[in-house]
Amino acid sequence: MSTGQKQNYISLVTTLLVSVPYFIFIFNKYQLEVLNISGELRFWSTAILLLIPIRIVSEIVMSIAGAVLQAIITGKEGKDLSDERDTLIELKSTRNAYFIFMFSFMAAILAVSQGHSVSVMFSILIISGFLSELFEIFSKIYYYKKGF
Amino acid sequence: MIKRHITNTIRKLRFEHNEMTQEQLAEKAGVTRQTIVAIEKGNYSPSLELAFRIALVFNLSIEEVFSYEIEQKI
Repeated sequence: MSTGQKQNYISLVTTLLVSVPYFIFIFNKYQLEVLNISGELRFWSTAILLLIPIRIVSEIVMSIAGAVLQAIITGKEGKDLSDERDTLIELKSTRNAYFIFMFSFMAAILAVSQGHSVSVMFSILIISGFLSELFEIFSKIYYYKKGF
Repeated sequence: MIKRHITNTIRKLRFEHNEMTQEQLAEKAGVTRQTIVAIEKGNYSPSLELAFRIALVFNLSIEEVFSYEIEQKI
């Protein structure tokens, strides 16, 4: 298994370990707070903005931990070599993820146009962001295994 | 139904070149071993540049390594 492939499994674990507890925390916090429309916008914007540095830091930490673990188990450093096939897999997986997010974005807009609150829109956006990320990782795993 | 695919003789050529390993070929062509595995299995069609690099490793022309086949299926 190449370093690129291992990175997918690390990303999958990171996504599940960090994003899921964060979403549960955010949705629980939202239930406890009584907010007006501007308060709701502020709450969800902050929630999304906070998620970005959390994900970046957790990705970095998990990547380092993965590299250290690999060095301990195999006794040699993993080569961080990526080639044209890796780039193509990356592009195809990103395209697949965008398809999921595009439809979810439309669903979020549709929800608001049908009279649902902004919290419904943000919930759809957050969940679809999470799902599209998962879809991207699974696409990469699939392309690495099956080829294309 | 017409099926088109690129075939190659990399496996045979590796064997003829002192049983070169996939890892060695990958290193010489500047790609990962997984890419060589995928090309050999026919799961991935390399770019023209990579096809030339692989052919150069064996000191052959590109046509001697890769060929384009059209299969007619009924």
